[in-house]
Amino acid sequence: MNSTNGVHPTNNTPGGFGIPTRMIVLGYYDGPTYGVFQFGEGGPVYRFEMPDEDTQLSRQSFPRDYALQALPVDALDRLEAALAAHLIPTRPAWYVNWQFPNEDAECETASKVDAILAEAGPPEFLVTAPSWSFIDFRPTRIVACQPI
Amino acid sequence: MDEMLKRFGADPETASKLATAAAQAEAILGIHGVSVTARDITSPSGRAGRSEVEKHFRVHDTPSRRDPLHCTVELPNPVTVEVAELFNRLFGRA
Repeated sequence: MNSTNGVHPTNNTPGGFGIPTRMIVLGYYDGPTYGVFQFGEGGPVYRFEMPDEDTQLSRQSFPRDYALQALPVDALDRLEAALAAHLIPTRPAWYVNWQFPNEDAECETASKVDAILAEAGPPEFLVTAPSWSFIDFRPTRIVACQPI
Repeated sequence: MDEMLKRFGADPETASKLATAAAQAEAILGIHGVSVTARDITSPSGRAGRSEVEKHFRVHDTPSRRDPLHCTVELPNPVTVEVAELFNRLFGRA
């Protein structure tokens, strides 16, 4: 894997992600492209996004690569609370349809959401998933990233 | 002015592939459909005017934080070969 968007993979291959138990999707294109998920109750929380998203999507196929950045364990709850001020949450997976009653509500929510997402650390893992919705996230390759 | 919808990739898609994507969207977005976007993109894509697509399929605004111009083209279930051909033709990939 070449370096992408500042992600510098190593040959380490830690595993054990399993299937996410909760997810908030903030970007979607024939599958989640961006968001936050958690592995197990009280388990690790990651911000995920597709490096070079448009290039990957133009291939029209899976697998897709995702960069994972660790967030505080309570980040998913705080994110949900920030969004739920104006939108109706669903669990275990919530696609956040980014439509608000007015511009003030959108700006306020965007500010809170972006602040939480900004707490993410540097890319920690680069994960390749053959195909996934919420229930079938089964990475075929997990690459640890070196500090930038 | 008509909104221009883009579907990533230049190749026509099979009914099976569209059906898989539509089922996935139904599970997460609650709409049996596939993704398109009205944002500007430079990657290879099929393109179609929204009004033309809406003559055949319902188009839902499904904006996200990442892509405020993301839309979902609702497809019938099952997605037949004829539906796939129409979809591909609309997006100039037939």
